[in-house]
Amino acid sequence: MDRIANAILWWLGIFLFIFAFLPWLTSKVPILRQMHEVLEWHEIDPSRFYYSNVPQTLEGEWYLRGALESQALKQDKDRP
Amino acid sequence: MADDVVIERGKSQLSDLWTKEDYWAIWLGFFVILVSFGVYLNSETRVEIEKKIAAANQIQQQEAAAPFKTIAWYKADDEKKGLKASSHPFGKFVLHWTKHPGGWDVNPLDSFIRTEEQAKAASAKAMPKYEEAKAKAEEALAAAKIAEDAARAAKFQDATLNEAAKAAIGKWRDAAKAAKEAKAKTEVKPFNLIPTLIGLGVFLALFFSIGTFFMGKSVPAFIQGFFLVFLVGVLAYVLGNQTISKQYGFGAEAWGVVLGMLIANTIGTPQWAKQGCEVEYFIKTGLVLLGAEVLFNKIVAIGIPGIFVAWVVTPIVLIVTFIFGQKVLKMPSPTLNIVISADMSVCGTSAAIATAAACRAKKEELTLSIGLSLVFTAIMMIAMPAFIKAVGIPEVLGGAWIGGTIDSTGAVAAAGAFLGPKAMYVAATIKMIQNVLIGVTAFGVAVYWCTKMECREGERVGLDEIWHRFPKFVLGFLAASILVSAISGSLGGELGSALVDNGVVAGGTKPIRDWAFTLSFAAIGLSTNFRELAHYFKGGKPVILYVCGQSFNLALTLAMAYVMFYIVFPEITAKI
Repeated sequence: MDRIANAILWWLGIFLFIFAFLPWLTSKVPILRQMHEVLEWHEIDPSRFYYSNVPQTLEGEWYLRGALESQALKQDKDRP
Repeated sequence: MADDVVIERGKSQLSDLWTKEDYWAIWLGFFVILVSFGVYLNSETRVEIEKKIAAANQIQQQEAAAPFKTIAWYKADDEKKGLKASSHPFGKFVLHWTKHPGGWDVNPLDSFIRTEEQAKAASAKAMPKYEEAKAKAEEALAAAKIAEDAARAAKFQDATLNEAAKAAIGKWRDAAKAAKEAKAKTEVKPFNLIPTLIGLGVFLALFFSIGTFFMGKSVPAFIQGFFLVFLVGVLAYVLGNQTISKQYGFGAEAWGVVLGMLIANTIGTPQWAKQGCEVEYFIKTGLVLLGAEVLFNKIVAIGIPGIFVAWVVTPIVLIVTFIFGQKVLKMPSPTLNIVISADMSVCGTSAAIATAAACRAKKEELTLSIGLSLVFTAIMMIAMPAFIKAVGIPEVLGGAWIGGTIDSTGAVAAAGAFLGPKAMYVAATIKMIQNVLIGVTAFGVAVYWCTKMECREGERVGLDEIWHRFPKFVLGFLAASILVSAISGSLGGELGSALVDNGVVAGGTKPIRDWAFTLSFAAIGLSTNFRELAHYFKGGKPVILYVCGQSFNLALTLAMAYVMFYIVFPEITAKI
């Protein structure tokens, strides 16, 4: 019986923290609310740990490769 | 059930090839990798992709005469970037049957089922923003065309017209990106994941049962326990995909451990389920599959500055933190020390898993390291962009700093996005380069542990002994990385990206790897004792180690990023 009561208490504590306290905190603190909006708009999932799970990485790689390639091309063109 | 992540002991034998889980992780991992290569590299999709790339390249060559990237050049570029080998029927099949519960806000059932009406309502809700963004993009395109035509009419000889065209095209690109993002939100589709999850559970049970059978373990007992592990994994995905939970980095992996531990330490993991908690088997298989995503050709994505920030600073921080833990803090467990050091310096959870497996850390040590990483990542993800904005650090430097220091890639992209698009691109790319370091880290740690840490004082270890002790799955992990890197490199940037990144990986290895890691975390939770975990916390040394190591990392990364991006290579920074 004690074990089941313990289980319920733990579950309740963790669930209240993640699903009640954190949403409340996010809605009240401007910087957290702003972060929430940015993440929603860009569809970024901060819980993904490896680059292949984060589409923004491939986007960034393309952007930077493009920028560096155009710089290399410009240097070639400028060379006498 | 073993306590260690890796339990390889004794002499190597030929029969190890079919009786040891290290080898089964390699066989299963390579089976998935080779099937994916076989399908994507020999399909008609590849021929179509090659044709489309050739056509786009021709347009880009024609447009190369202009001193700036023209509208046609960008359209051809977009065409190439949109190419995905995973659109092949095999890719669609794999992605359909490996889906995990999706995002939700208030009702957890939304992660399993989305009705036609719900999908239509969500699409309709996003429509006004899309219409607005679309109109802006069309307007920006019209302006860009006028400016480009004017520059073209002057045969690109008028510098003022060229600059005006370049600026107008830049504005169109930004507007087009916003419209693309808005459009994606109007394409909400209905789904019902319950049948696919049942199918996936059966497939994964059979997939892992092959090795279980040859390793001489009871397959029915494994399958029985596996379904509890799978159920915990599914629930972990549901909870980890709640909007606020994932915003703070508390994803499926963390929930897997928490749910498992709550079950194990309150009502208790049922005896019949314990044979399904094959932590090491799941982790090693996941790591061999992860090897296919460790692509060495990625490290040049941002040139020399990126290599210095990600590949020079990181090993220094890793080694210094480990030595600090051993000599100054006198951490009782060197394995916990190295796992926290790698987790903090390299790339969070993935580095922690690879290092823990390479040095035979206990699962409680892995859990503790990942827990520390999650807490500090959530704090740094919010504090760093706020500090960078407050102090006025430039976007590129801020992005490089974030990319080199925050542990998880998703949190890096989040913090970067908070600063701006350039910061997000630089941060995510630096992190990606750092991610590739986990292969070298795992190999280095495995060799160091075999040759130094597991030796008695004065003992010399011969090559055969190193071979006996070496965790063999690390070789599978490295072989997968080298094989996929070589093939991706030989295909070239665009074709490699379409066939490997968006084919073999996205539509083959990654979905299975994701599930293997989620299962391993659920299994870790189900077999972890709270008291044993608390024992590692004694004295707060892990927290001190993390804080000291991360402080050093923050200082060194900022200094290196400043020197590289603003003193040695300012021309690269100017171009970004």
